[in-house]
Amino acid sequence: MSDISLIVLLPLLAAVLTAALPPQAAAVGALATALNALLAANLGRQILQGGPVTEAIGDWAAPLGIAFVADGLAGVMLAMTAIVGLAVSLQAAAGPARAGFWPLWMATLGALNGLFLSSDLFNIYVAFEILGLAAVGLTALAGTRAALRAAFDYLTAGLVGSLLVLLGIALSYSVTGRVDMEAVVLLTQSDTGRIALALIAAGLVVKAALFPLHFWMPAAHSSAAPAASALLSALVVKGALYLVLRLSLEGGAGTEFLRNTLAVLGAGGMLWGAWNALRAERLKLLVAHSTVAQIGLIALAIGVAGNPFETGLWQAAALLMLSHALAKAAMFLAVGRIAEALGHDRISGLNREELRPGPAEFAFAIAAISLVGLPPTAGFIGKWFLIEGLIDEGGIHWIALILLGTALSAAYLSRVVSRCLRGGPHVAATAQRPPWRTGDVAALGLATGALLLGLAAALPITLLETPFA
Amino acid sequence: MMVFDAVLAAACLVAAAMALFARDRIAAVAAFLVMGLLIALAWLRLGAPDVALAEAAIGAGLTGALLLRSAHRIPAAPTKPLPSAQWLGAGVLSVAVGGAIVWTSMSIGAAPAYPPLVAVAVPESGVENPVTAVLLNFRAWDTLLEIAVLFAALAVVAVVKPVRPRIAPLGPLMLPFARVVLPLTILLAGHLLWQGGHAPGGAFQAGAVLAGGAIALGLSGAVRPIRWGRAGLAWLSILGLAAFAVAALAAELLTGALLGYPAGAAKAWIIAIESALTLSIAATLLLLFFGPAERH
Amino acid sequence: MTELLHFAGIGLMIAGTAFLAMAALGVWRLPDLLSRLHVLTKADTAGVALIALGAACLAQSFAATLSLLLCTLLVALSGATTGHLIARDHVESASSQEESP
Repeated sequence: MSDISLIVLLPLLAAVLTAALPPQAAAVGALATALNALLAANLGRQILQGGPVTEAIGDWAAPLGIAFVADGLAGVMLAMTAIVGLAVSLQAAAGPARAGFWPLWMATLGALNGLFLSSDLFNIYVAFEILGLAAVGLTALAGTRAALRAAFDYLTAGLVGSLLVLLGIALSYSVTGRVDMEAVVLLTQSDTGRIALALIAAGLVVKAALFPLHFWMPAAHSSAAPAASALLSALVVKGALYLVLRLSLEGGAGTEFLRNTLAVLGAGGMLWGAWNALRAERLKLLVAHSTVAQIGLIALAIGVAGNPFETGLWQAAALLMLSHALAKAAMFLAVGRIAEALGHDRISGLNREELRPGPAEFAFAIAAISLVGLPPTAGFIGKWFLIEGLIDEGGIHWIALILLGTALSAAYLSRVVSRCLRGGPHVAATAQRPPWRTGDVAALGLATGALLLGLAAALPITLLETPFA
Repeated sequence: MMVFDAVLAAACLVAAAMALFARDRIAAVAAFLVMGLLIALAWLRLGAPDVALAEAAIGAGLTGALLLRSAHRIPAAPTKPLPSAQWLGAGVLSVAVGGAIVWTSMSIGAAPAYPPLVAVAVPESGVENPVTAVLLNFRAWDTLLEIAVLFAALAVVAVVKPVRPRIAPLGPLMLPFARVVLPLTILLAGHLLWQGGHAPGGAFQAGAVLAGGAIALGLSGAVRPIRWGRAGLAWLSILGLAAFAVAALAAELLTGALLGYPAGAAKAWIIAIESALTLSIAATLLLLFFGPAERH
Repeated sequence: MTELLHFAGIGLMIAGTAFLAMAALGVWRLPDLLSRLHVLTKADTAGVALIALGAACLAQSFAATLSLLLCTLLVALSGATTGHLIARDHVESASSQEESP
């Protein structure tokens, strides 16, 4: 059995097992995540050595059948999912057992893997359906009234997004007679095709929570349980962003109209999210608004990348996705631990006298550094790539916007970091450090990963530079 | 026939408007059911009997049952009218999207390229019905993921834990009704399943029909609302995804291609997978209706 | 013979349609639920039965006739059952309303 078949099917089988055997769910889920990481690593190795790996399902060649294509971009996305998944599974397996978490998380993992590997638009839509439903369940998992309300809004927004994507795919089928990725280039050649592409992209903008269609997202991401928030913010929205990037790549020069729109929306989201994060009173809400801003930055990076057949600037967007996933998951796990130790997550109450900063605060600070983009973190490499490329192309106004967004992100993140890492006289002499928990290990591991990835950035960049199939 | 189509299209729109604007929830659901049946007719007129069957069984039938089950618990829609800005915004958006679709479908001239590809490959697929050939062979991976969607839906319902419906026995006529209907639905489900190989039919339709019969039995009060059977139903509901995933990998072991059925045995594989799916879909729909099993 | 069956079939279907139209008219014009139900269950079942009979005459095949017969039986059965359920619900809610105020 090939690695591709296993990496898409093992999570689904694990989902079935965790649903059938709730007492063993954590063990099965953790094992599946570990196997998934091994498979992702092996697949990445194969791509590095021999270029893209393809597999025609049932030996039916596209466009009759569906093909999996594991190229560099897919490899990076799989690795991102695997790393974040490991940390989240670690945290969830050690934390309090929540009925229903594991089947939903395993379904999410299977859907994401399928999404990144599939080279068929309709098939990707079906994967989005799993992803969307499972994400609604993950949001509702906390069981509070606010969480249920947020889950319902999420479901509604997700359905609107799905309908737009499906409508676009139906139109693209009637224009080109096929739904595999080859259809994208054909679509860019006619007005009707461009309408189809625009509909798909509009649905993806809703699903990715890109400004100004992000209204459902802060509530959903901030009211979910920590492990679920980490998954939603780090991975689930990346599914839609990935497809946007993929469409931009497949369309080449023909998708310039999509990129122009994305750049504008992205810049708006970057500033709007940062502004709201500056004003947020609760820590989780601040982190959720920061996701709006970071998604804006990624969309901007996809948007200004230009024709991917001429420049490698799109790789910056992929790097930013990777670094945001690691840092944001670390941040949500750390916030979960901070709120657990304090009993609340009000930012004004982070200045405490009776508790010294612990590993969770430290993890938050490292993740913040990566999100702001200070060297040597992964976030720095992504932004450096982007700005360097923009200098070459003379996009000074975009650079100014990115720097403004960076300054704002430093401002809102320092609201937290300055409070929770402060030592000095106002801390009582008897103050204790919070005890170590597995959640700390997961958060700290991810944050360190974001830091080290900056030093080992050559690996993802080499992967991204492998030629397409 | 032009007149019939025009009347049908208008009736679909009227039913949709009634479903949207009815103040009474039950009336809205009733209008939705009517719309589902009309749309099934429309599919038939468009030459897609498979979709018509699925729409009638799932879209109008079971979705209607689920909606009615929930409509009792939800209070009537608020009388407060929407702000006119929202009306205007929604109107502009609908007209824009609708206009884009109409214009696009008007300006498409070329014959679709996919059906000829399917027609060439159908003889190798093991079944004669091209729809089943696409769903269970050429694009079986889509169908596998769709079963995973059903799985995810049930998992979400298990998390949200909706209040279970109180099943009050529906009077002395319901049990005789169920006694006639349930065997018939079992027969019909088997027929649809088998027929899927060469004519419109298949696992989704068969599963929906089967679930419909079982719901009639549950509502008759003859069976203590499947209390003893919930665990069994829960196992059945996940059987489909498990069986499909294992079959996909087993086929790869045998032939070297994921979901590549061994030559000559394709029909047996397809029918076996579809049988598991039928039971699983029926169990999933039943659990959605009666509420999923308690978790430990 | 075939000609005759053909005309008989069309005649039966027209009669069935008339019954259905009558049922619709009754539901529209009659004053209260029970009398509406009365016209609906009878005329509806008769209408479907006549149309099925007409269709059987047109189809002239044993298999088609069998499934048409099944259709008619199911419509009759479900019509009677749902009519009974609606009437029962109506009577019950009416009596509970009399008691409650």
